[in-house]
Amino acid sequence: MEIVFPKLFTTAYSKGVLRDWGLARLTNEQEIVINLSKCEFITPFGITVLAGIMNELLVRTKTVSYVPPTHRGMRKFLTRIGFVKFFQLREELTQIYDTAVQLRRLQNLDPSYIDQIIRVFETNLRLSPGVKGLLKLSINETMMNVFEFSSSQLGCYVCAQMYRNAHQIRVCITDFGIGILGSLRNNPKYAGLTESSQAIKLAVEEGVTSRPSGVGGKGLYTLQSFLKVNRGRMVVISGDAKILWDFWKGKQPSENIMDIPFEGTIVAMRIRTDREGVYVLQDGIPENVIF
Amino acid sequence: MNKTTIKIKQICKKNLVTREDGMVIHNLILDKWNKFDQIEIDFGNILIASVSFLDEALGKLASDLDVNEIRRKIHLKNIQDFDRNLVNTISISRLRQKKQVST
Repeated sequence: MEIVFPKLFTTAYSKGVLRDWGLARLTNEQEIVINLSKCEFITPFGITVLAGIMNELLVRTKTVSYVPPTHRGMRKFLTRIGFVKFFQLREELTQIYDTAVQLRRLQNLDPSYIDQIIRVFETNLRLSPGVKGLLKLSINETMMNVFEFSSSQLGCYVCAQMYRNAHQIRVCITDFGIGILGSLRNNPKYAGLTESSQAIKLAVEEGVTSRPSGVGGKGLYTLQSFLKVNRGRMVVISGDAKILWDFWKGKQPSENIMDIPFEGTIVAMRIRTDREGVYVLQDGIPENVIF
Repeated sequence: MNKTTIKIKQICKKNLVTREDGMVIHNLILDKWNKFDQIEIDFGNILIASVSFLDEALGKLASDLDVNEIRRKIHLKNIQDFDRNLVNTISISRLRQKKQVST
């Protein structure tokens, strides 16, 4: 069986690959070919999904063959971002590209890795305090959810990339755990949930948590509030749902249904570096803040 | 005025992300609450940017204690603007939830 990656592997062009991954999980075929020959552009989302799929197949003791990209720029990029090293593929050695943060698989929360991500970007771009804070917040909150709620056996895959001309930093965290629906159902309050899209939309609401005690539920909600002010973007894929919040365009969130459910959760974010990370407290606040 | 300082860097070291990390600070504040007129929390200029940590350490105070008392007693020092704003966002959220429960 072959999983063919498209020319542009981004959240917008991911349906086919995620469908094929769903089929690969279920197939009796022993050999799976990961074909990147057509791929010319890949984002942190794509990198984490690609690495995650390959690793998950290996864990399932499948034989995984890899067809590298023919596009030279793409080949160099995969080396620079650490993908080649991650799987110990034989490619020419290329210097590590310092606007990218190496692909990593994390099995526990690693605050020093998060700080490393900030440092890499800071050496290349003057990050305003607000953007720096938002970047750290986005990674902290997403990773916390993986390690606390996802029940992912292999942890999560993280990658981040700066796009200087587009004034963006893109970050993606992918896990192959129980998904947001499975996680929320651990809280008896949400035991009756049946749809992944319902679960994702709930998960970003204030006070919604997987904890049976009900304590918490502020992480994703707060992150979204800050992304909104930053006019950034967030895509969440979990189960059979994909939801995009594009705060730059200011439209309602858009939803798609996946052909085959994705077992796990992908959170891909875009943070604008040309917007001051100025954040505004919500309406109805007391005249004086508390702290 | 009877004042004490809680130095987050010294107490938590690199453990500044989870609720469990934040609980250490929260419990210290509660322990000192009736013993001191002012409790200074020194953040040492580090960027925390963690909702879980800040909610547990400080946000929860807004649910459990009188807001005016908190304003009077707790003083945040060497805190980055982003974190101060985050703490206030979280605390106001707590207050809002508290009001919803009581109505």
